[in-house]
Amino acid sequence: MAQKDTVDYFGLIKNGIFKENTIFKLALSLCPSIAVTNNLRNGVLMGTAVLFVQVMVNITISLMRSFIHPRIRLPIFMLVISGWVTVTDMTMAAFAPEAYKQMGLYIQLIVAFASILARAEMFASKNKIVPSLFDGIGMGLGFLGALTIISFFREILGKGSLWGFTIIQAKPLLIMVLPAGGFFAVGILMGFFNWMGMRNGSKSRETL
Amino acid sequence: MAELQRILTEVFGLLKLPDIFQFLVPYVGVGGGVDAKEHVPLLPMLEYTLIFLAGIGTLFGLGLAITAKKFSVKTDPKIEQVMDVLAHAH
Amino acid sequence: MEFAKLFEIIIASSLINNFVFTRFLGLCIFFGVSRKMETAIGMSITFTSVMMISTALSWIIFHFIMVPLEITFLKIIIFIGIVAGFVQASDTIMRKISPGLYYKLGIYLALISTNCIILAVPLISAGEHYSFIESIAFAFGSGIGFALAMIIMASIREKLELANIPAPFKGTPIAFIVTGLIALAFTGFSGLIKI
Repeated sequence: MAQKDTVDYFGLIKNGIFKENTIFKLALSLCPSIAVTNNLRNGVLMGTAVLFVQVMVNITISLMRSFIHPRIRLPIFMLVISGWVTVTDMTMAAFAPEAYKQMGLYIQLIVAFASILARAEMFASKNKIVPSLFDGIGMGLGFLGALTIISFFREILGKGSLWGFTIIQAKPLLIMVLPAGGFFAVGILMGFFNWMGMRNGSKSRETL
Repeated sequence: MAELQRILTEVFGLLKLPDIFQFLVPYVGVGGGVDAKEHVPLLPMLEYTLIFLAGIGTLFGLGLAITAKKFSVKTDPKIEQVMDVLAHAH
Repeated sequence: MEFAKLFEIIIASSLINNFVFTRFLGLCIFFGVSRKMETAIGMSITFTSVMMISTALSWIIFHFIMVPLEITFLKIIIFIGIVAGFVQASDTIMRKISPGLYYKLGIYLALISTNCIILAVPLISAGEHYSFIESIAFAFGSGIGFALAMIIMASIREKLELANIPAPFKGTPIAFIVTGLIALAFTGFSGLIKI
């Protein structure tokens, strides 16, 4: 019984990272993600913030799921998400002020993420606490992994450094840290993941 | 918050621990960034928050309910039910 | 009334710090709606009007109630509430008063309500302490910038449907790369006005 449960939870985490990855497979919540991936540090901070908000929102909504009236569930979800995003925003403003100056607006825009709302409606409002916790961890880790990959490529190609430490002396492709490079990076990475998916036989993501 | 800070600093000084208090509780007040304050009066803030949120919630709820009643249009209820089943967040 | 400052704000928010190409906001509906020209134009009209009215409402509530009572940390919750309530109310009112307009533009209202831009404009104007007219000008500029972005993208994507694109890139990835090229062109606007 315990063995079966543990395998199920890891399956939930792997589902969030590989099969239903927010950015590459579902193509949701891209808006603030490309903006903060200038450096590796900003990308990792944003991914951690989204992981925290996702886990907390899943837990809160799964705790409240028995007494939310179905007609008003969407405003209640928005309220819970905005509460937790306010907490995250104020925490980051206090503990990492120099990073907050660059991306303060995008942390506040986690509220409008479609993926957190979709997970809250499809999963957390119907399952118990512990599966919702693991599902939140899975989706959050998938998001963090995707942001880390994008910001890794953008910073190494654009500035030749990683987290502020210089690795390559020259700046190979300066365009990668400009806004245009963000679009290029996400487009090429999405095409790459589509190609890998098509090679493994599953259907590629054609339309948005 | 100032009392808690003073007590914890005294305790850490007595136990000869390094001052990790600066990592636990930051000094910036509510709001961060633009409107940071040194000291925040807790009880008036709680009262204002609760009254304001309750007031805005009642106002919007009443407004939406009255609008829905006055400007109602007769639609086929089956359309509503089908849309409710299909409405996943996109 | 200083028209120079208002003009500066409109040019800054529509061309220099364009919300789609420089600030990366609103990509959710940008890629969804910009496939055909009619939907792009309809969406821009709805978007600009919703943005201006909701920014005005948010400014009123922020400056007259939240700043004097010093509860500005609630601004995320309140702005989302205002936008959602206003969109819902205008949906209901438009359905009764002008069904023709609702039939043409009503579908976009549901897409606008949890959007990245519709929350970003009141947050930025609250953070930079704009006055009432300045925040309305900011909202108008952002609406124009968004309309420009969508009309350019729609006219390119209509031609892109018939092009010969490699299979992994069909659909969304090639739209991202095209947007990157347009964003590269918009980088030429930076430094136009010293803010």
